[in-house]
Amino acid sequence: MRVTESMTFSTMINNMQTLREKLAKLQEQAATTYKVNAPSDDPQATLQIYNLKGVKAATDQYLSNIKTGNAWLKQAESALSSISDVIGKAKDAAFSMANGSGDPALATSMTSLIRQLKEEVVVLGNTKYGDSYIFGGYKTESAPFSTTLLANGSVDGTYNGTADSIRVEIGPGSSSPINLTGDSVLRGGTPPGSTGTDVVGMLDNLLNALTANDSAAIQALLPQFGKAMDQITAARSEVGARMVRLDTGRSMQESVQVNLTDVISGAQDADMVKVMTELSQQQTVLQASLASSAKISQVSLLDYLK
Amino acid sequence: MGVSGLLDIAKSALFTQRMALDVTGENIANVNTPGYSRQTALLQTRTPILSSGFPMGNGVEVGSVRRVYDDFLQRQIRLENGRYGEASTSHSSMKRVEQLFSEFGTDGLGTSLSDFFNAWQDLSLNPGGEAERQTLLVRSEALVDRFHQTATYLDQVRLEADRSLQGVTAEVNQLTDGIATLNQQINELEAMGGEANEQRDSRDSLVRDLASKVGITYLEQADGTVTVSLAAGPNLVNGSRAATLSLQPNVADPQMHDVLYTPSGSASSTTDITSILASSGGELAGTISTRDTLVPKVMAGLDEMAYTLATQVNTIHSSGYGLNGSTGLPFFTPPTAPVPPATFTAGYSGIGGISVAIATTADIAAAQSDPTAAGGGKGDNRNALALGDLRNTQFAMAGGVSTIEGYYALLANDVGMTVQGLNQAQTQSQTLGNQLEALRQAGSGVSLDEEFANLLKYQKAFEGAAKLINASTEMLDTVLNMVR
Repeated sequence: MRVTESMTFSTMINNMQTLREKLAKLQEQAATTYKVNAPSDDPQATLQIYNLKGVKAATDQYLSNIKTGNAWLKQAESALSSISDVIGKAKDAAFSMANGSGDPALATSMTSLIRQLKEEVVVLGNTKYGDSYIFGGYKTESAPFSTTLLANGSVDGTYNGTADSIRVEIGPGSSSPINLTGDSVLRGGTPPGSTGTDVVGMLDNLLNALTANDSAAIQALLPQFGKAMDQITAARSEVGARMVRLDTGRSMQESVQVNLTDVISGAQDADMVKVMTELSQQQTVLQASLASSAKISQVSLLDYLK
Repeated sequence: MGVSGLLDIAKSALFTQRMALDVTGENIANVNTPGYSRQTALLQTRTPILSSGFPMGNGVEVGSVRRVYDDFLQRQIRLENGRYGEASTSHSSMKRVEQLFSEFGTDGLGTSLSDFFNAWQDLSLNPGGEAERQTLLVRSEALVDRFHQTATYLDQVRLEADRSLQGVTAEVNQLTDGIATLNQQINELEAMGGEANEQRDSRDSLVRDLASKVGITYLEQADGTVTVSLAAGPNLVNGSRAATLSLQPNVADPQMHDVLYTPSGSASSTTDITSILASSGGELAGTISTRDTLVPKVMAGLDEMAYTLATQVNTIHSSGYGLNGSTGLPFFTPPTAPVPPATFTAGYSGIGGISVAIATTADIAAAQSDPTAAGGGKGDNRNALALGDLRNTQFAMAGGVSTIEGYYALLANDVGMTVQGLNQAQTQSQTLGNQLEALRQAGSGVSLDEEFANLLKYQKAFEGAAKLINASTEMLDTVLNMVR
C-alpha cells in the first residue's frame, strides 16, 4: 500500500485528537471526582442514581418527621407523668378526708387544694408543643380544655377539641399517630365518662363533696381514683409504645440512608486511583505519539538527493 | 528517413519527457491540495513508419494524462460523509438538551420535585404553621420555574435547528450550482480530447461535500457529466442544470420552515420535500430529525410529567380545606383539555402552562375537613399527608408506569441513551471516514518520494534526448562537411 505525506500527517493528527479526547475525559473525571458527569456517560447508572437520590431525599424527610413525632410524644409523656402525680396528690387528699374528721379548717384547705389540683390537670391538658396544643385532636390552634370559672370557683375543663389522631409519615406508605386526645385521657370519652374515667369530673365531684363536707360522697369517689391512675398509666404506656415504633422506624430509615449513600457513591464516584493512573498513562502515550510523529516526518528523499 | 528522422525522434523524446516533467511538477505543487488526485503521464510509442521496407519506431508521445481515481472509494466516502453529517448535527443539539437533565454537579428538576414533596410533609407536621406554608409556596414556585426554564430551552434548541436550515440549504444550492458548472466545463473540455482532470477532482470534492449535507446518489453519464439525485428520488443536478432548495414557513407552526424543491427551469412546480429529507441522511436529515422528532419527544415527556403532577395534585388539593375553610381550589392552574389521541396537554410545561394558582398561604388545603367547622381544627393534616404521599404513587404514562420522580429519571435515561447512541454513530462514522480518506490518499495521493524519483527519471531521459540531438547534429555536420 502506498503511503503518502498527507496520509502520514492526517493519521498523526487524527490519533492525537483521539488521545487528547481521552485525556480530556479523564481530566473531567479527576476534577469532578464523578465517573458519570452527564446522562450520556452511562444512561443506566443515571437512571439508578436519580432514583436513588429521590429515595434518599424522601428518607431524610422521614427522619425529620420522626424527630418531630418523637418531640410531640415526649411532651405528652412528661405531661402525663405530671398528671399522674396530681391524681396521686388528689387521691391522698380524698383518702384523708374520707373518714370525715370534721375539722372545718382542714376541709377549707383541702377544698382549696383540690381546686388548684383540678386547675393543674386542666393546664396540663392544655400542653403545647411549639404553637400546637397536643391533646386537642385537630383543634391545635386553641386550648382544648376550657378555663372559664365555674360556680364552685374551679376551672371548667370542658373538652372542646376533636377526637382525631394526628399521623405523620415515617416510611413509604406508613404513618404513625403522634398524639393522644384529651377527651379519652382526661374526660373518659364524649360525653364525659362514657368510655373511661372522667378525671376532671371526678375532681369536680370531689371538690363539691368537700365543700359540702359530704364524707359519704367522698367515700363513693375513692374507687374512681384507682381507675383514673390506671387510665393515665395506660395512656403513658400507649405513648411509650408509639415512641418505640418511631424509634424502630428511625433506625430502619437510618440504615436505608447509609445503604443509599453507599450505593449512590458506588454508582457515581470515580475510583481516583484508577483515574490518576490512567491519566498519567495517557500522558505518556501522547508524549510518545508526538515524539514519534516529529521523527518520522523529517525524513524524505530530498535529504539524499544531491 | 535520414538524420532528420533521428532529430525527429529526439525532438519527440524531448517534448514528451518535458511534458512528463510538467505532470510531475503539477503533482509536486499540489501535494497539499485537498481532494487532488495525482496524475500520471502515460507514454506510448508513436505510430511506426515504414522505412527501407520494414516498420521503424518513430519516437515517443504522451498518450494521455490519467488521474488515479477509485470510484468505489468515492461512493463509500460519500455514504460515510452523509452518516457523519447526520449524526454530528443531531449529536451537538441533543448534547445541549442533555445539560437540562444533568443533576451530577448542580440541582435540577429532580431535586425541585423532591423538595416539593418534602415541603408537603413538613406542612403535615405543623399544618397551621405560617413558615411551613410559606416554604411550600416558595418551593412550588421554584418547581414551576424549573419546568418553564426546561421547556423554554427545549423550544430554543428547536428554533435554532430550524434557523440552521437556512444556512444548510444555501450551501446545498451553492454546491449543486458548482457541480452543474463543472459538468458543463468538463463536457466542453473533453469534447476537444483528453481528460479534464482538475475539473473532475473539483467536482468529486464538491460531490463529497454535498453528501455530508444531504444524502445523495450519483451516476456518471456517457458525456462525462454526473447526475446527482437525492437518495430518495428527485434530481439535484442534471447535466448543467441544478435544482434549488428553498424554505417556506410551515402552515401549522409558522415559526418552523418546510424545505421546498424546485426543479431547474420550472419555477412553478415546487414540492415540499421536508419529510423525504428527514430520512435521507446528511446534515439536513440530522437537523430536521432534531427539530421534528428528537426534541419534541423530550418536550412531550416533560409536558406529560407536568400534566400528571398538576392534575393529581389538584384533585387531592381541591377536595381539601384551607385554614379559613376555603375548598375546591386547585393548587396549580388547571391544564386545558388534551386534544385526543394525546392524553396530556401539549406545551403545559412551558410559560403560560403550569403555574401556582394559590396566592395566600391560608388557602393551602392541608386539611380534609373544614378547620373552621365544629368537628375540625387547624391540626388536620390529612390532605397534606396525602399530597406528600403522592410521590410514592405510580401513574401510567407514555414512558411506562412509574412515580413522578421515577418518570423524570426515565426521561433523563432516555436523553442519555439518545446522546450516547448519536455519539457512537458519530465516532464510528468519523473513524471510518478517516480510514476511507487514508485509503483514497494511498491511491490518489501524492508521495513526494515517488515524485522526486520520477523527477530524476524524466530529467535523465531529457538529458538522454538532448544527447541524442547532440549526436544527430554532429552527424548532420559530418554529412554536410562531406560535400565541400
